[in-house]
Amino acid sequence: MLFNSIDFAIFLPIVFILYWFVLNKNLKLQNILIVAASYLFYGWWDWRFLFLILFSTIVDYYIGINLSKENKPRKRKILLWISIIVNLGFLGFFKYFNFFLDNFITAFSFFGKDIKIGMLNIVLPVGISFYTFQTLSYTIDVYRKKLKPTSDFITFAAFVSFFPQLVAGPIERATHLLPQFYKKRVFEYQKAVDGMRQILWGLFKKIVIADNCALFANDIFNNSGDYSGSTLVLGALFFTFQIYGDFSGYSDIAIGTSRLFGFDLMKNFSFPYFSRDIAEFWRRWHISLSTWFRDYLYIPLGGSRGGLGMKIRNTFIIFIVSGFWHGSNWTFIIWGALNAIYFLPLLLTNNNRNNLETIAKGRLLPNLREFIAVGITFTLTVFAWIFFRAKNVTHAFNYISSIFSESIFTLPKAESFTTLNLLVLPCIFGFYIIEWLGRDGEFAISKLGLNWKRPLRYAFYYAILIAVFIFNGKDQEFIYFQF
Amino acid sequence: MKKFIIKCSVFILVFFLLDKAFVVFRNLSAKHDFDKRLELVLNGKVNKDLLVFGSSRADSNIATWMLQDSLNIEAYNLSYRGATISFQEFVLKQLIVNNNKPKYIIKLLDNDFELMHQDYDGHVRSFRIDRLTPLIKYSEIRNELINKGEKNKVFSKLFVLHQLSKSNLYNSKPPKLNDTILEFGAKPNNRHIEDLKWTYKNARVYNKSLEIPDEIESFLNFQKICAEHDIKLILATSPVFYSMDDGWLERMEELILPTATLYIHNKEDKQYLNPENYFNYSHLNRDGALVFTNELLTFLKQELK
Repeated sequence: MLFNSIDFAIFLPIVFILYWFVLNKNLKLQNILIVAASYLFYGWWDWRFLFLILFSTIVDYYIGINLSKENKPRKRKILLWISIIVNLGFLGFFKYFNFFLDNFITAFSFFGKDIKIGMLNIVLPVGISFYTFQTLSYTIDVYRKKLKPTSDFITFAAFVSFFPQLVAGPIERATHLLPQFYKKRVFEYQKAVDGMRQILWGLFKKIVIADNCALFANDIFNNSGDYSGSTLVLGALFFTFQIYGDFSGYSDIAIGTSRLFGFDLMKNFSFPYFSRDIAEFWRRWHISLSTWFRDYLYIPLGGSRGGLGMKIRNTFIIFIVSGFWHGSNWTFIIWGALNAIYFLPLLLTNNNRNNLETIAKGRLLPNLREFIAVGITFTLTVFAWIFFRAKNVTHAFNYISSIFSESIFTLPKAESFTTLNLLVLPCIFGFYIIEWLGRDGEFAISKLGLNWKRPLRYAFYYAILIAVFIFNGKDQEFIYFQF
Repeated sequence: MKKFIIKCSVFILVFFLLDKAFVVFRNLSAKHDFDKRLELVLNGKVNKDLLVFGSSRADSNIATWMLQDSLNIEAYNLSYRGATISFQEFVLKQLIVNNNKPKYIIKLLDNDFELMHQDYDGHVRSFRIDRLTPLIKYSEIRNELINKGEKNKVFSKLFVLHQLSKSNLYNSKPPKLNDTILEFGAKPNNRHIEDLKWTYKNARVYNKSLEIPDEIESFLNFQKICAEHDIKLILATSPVFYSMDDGWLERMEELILPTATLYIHNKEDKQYLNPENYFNYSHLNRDGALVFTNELLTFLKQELK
């Protein structure tokens, strides 16, 4: 079920009413409802993959219990590895099998050996990368004795399958989310209102910004050979807004929906395009994944301790693995490596933690230095997105070489630049301003407008809602579902 | 909780009322549209003896006024650029419901890709949703958009805003050269693309696996509707600047019902080898359309006796 679908608009109020009005006195029943609703939500796409989630849930549930009973380090390690192998095994098979097979065949053909193995027609289960990492965090934290395992299967199943964040995150830590399922939930008015506001803003980002930028980005990337360098620059820019609107929009709806049910999910985006350097960008982009890799991969590898070589190695590992997590394509690996190259100078000169505060805090506008820093970081990010969006590495390099041609000095022109499509430009402009003005909050409109007079504030909300209705096309999937 | 429910309800109620103001937008939208043909169909104002259906081939290759003058009957061209047969079927159904049924229909076939969504050069054909959205005030159009999954039935009933799309905010786009809509409906254009390499191409082998099942169904339905309403249907091929594949023709013959007549244009005519008669590889220009319509008239005069 898509957040931006009518199905969800009907599903959500029904679950909400059952949760708060029918089952509000019984925590266990509320959790059962969450599991049932989550399985329905997921099964709406393909019920067959529910068995995968169920299997993963059962495996990690029992491994968690056994880890708490077992004291021998060797046996505990074996249990941990069973969980890792099962979870990553599923992920590896569904997501990476064909990639490895294809590269294996290519490698052999390079040495003159032709191997004929047919690719498997594998359907990637939606959200597998997200819930796999979430359950892994549980097992690892139990193994590290940071978390007591739960003996309540329903609670654990609710944690694994919690529908707002099941298919595209934020990837929650068991230490943060699981305890929330133990506690009786009390309806909080302010939390619910904030949740509604965040859902509204998320829908705007997805439907108005992302889906409409996609019209340009898809046209330009799919026909990049036909377009001038200046048009290709615009194509990369439109994709930059598309991916941000799409993914952060999803996260906003997920977090907002969770709030309606009394849950707090971790922040996943924090205005990344206002970052002053790449290190700051990665503290603000897909925070739940970055911190997951930091806690479960980077730090165990030694982090930034150790010598120069170790720092470089660990940085490349974490960025490349992060890139590869997005998909089984060399483009994602290059995208990750490119970000590592951006990041390394900051790390090696100890400048990776310079910009921890919100930009231009307490001021309306940034100073010139901040403005230039944001401009440079944004440009580097846009450049890296070309690899992320390209069909393959050759496409990415052709795209880039076409940008750096004489045609960059011509006027941009594309089939999709119709007046009708370009109606979204004022929306993008308005969106950027609102994001800037609201950059100090949890999400752009969490504080913005609260001090305005009520008619003005509500006019603002209605304007957003009207834009959502008018710009809504056929339900568009979220980009991150494919990851 | 009570406060939250009340606040949400009031918010939705105000929105519900505000939404109704958008009826004005919805109803004005059709006025700004340059192509009034579908609206004329819906309003029962296309009461002609002969109609031309098809995609851009029918739009470019037939000089409808010549049919009218030579056959001494009222003719009108209802072809739409880039329209699939499923779209043509929709227009035909609306025509039958709202107008006097025509006596004759000429449907020009898209050589090589009548049942596909994309030709070999990558040109896409679709169910022309963009022709429907300006006419959203008509219930027939709303229902069709619901059937196509573009709109939701319940929301469409509840919210005017859900019926709208951004094209309703701006739809006064000027007609393109191929979109010239006159009193006979669509008409050929005068252009000839000079900078194309005008070399006559060989037939492309027909690939049946690219056929779309829904389009096959619509192709058959189109013929059945004509038969049910006693409309004489002529399915015609038209010249293109590449040779026609026999595989495609055989496939068409397989799907053409006995109630319809297939007309295959004269492939030997030298005039169809002259690039000057073409707008591009797959469309004639005005000069070419005159030649082809003349040829078609010879056949029609016999057939419609």
